[in-house]
Amino acid sequence: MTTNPSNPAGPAGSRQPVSEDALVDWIDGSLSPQDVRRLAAESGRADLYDRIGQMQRHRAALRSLGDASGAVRAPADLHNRVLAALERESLVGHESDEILKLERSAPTAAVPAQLRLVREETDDRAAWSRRVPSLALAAGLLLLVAGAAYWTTQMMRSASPRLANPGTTIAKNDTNASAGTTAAAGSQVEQTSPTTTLAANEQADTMTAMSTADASMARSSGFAAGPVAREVNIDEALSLAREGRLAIRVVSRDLKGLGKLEQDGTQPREGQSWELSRDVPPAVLAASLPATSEASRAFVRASQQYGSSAQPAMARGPAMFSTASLISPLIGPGAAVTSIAPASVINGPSLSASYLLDLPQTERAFDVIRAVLRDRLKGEVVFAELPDTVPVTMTADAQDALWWTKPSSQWSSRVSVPLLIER
Amino acid sequence: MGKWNFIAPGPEQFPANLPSLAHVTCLPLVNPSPMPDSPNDADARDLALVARIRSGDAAAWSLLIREYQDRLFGVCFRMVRDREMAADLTQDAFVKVIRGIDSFDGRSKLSTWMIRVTMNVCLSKLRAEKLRRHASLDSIAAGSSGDGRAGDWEDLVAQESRAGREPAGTANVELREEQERVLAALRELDPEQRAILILCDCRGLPYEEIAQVLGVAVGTVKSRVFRARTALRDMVEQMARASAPRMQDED
Repeated sequence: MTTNPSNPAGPAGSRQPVSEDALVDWIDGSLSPQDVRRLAAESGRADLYDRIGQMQRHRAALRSLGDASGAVRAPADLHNRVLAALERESLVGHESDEILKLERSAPTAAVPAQLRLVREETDDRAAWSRRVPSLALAAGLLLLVAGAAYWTTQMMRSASPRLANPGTTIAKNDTNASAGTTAAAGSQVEQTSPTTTLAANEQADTMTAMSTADASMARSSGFAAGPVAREVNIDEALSLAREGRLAIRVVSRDLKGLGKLEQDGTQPREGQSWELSRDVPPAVLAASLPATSEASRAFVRASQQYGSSAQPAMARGPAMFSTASLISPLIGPGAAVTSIAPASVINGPSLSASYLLDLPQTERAFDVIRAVLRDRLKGEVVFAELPDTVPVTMTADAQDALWWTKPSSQWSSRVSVPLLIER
Repeated sequence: MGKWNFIAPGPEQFPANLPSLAHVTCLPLVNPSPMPDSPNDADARDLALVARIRSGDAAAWSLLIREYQDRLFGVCFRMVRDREMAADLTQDAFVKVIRGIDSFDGRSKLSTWMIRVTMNVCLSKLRAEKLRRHASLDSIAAGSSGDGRAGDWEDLVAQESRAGREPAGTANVELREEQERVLAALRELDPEQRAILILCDCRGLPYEEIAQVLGVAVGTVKSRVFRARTALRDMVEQMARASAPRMQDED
């Protein structure tokens, strides 16, 4: 028998604990009048009759709703809804774990309502917090990879001038006639930034060595005839670029605009779709040149031998040493890319410079670059089909990884195409 | 005060593959006779229905739904006071019942077990609603009007009263007013107290059956019923006191 010390409350003086069971029976009308009188007397509460009477009226009101006799009808479509839900369940599978959890949870009246709410809230938080470590790990890894890609790219870019600028300078300094004289290189260096002068001198000497060995072969190879099998239009050029069998040749008598072109290409302005890279791998350059060209072989040999390290300078003796030339191949990202030759260094009879051109794979982009090349170099621009696939590997760029941050109009894929500047 | 130990079907007891309903048609009830069944007949029919569902007879689902949809919907409607939400909860309850039919051990009546599952669904829903309401300033601003869906409830009370099941005249009007007051107070009670009053006073389940639904002893049920009735009486009085000044202002 449970007792209720607090209810029914009343101002009576001699109050005794009243059994809740007995009170419920009283409310339900299952007590005899004698038992009712005895209970009222035992409780010593004057208002007990009134209170029990109230509860009896409330009970009667609820009973009169007629729920037990089917007063509340289900909606007509409930049957079909349940069947549809069951069919969906059978097709999709069991309901979510969340619903199962709710089904299993016991409604515990003993637990205060507020505490139960907190528990449920805590359960939701716990379910969420279980996923947090894996999400955080994934986010951390993503940040790490993105950061590594970004800094690698930045470091490689910062290393590039040390390797390629001198070569480019020499390339721009038409070496056909001078055939590697130090004076010729020195005169061209005056047009470049002071920071690259020393390296330019070293590279000029490098090319001197290369030129003396291979210049005769280059001249005799007829390199000016070009590497291509045939000229193609823009549509074909797009598909060839996808296949890696496209080169762009520019033949010009006046290369004064080359410097400006290179500057624009290596430091693209906002909205400029194309970029130039001076780092053309020898293999790419070799594949872009005709297979029979001795000049190309000579260039590749030379670039592999001298291209990006201080070995030639060291070989020339102590007089040519410099701190920069010693340290540059050993420290920093440049050491990691020593296999990349200063590809724009061409000592052939007519090939003046070479680049890797990175541009969107769209007709408009190809049109634009053709117009730009014509405008800057005042020469003929030819899209040339190569007999074999050029092993161009796209450089991983942080900007590439962030393609989704750009406008959707810039979501086209990009291609790298060898650009050969010939005089 | 003991815990409410609702035993609901566990996932390991669910049928592995529920059959498709593509071929299900609306079949007549097993016993279409207008004569009321005896309790034993009803129990036997329920057990046969359970056996058919367990054997994978999807047509039995339809029979079960038709047999119990009004009862379960009534429980849900009294609990949440919204017909659409009650229909959703009833649907959920049926899905759970049929999926977990293997966990029905026959110790209680099928109807008792189904009401138990249904009540669990309702209480879970109400707890979630309460959480949301606590988080919503708008709901706080709504104040004593609850969730603003009381219209359904009062319409139904009026509809039930108009149905003429009770004596006409003054007594009918008084009863209707009493119903409105009690229902208004009922919806302000805690869901657990509301649940036990719905089972006991609205549905008229005997205490033994309520004890099976709640998984507690009969004495505990009686204690909870008494406390819920006391809370209801207090709420009715509290609401009457609150409405008295308003009525004076209107006068």
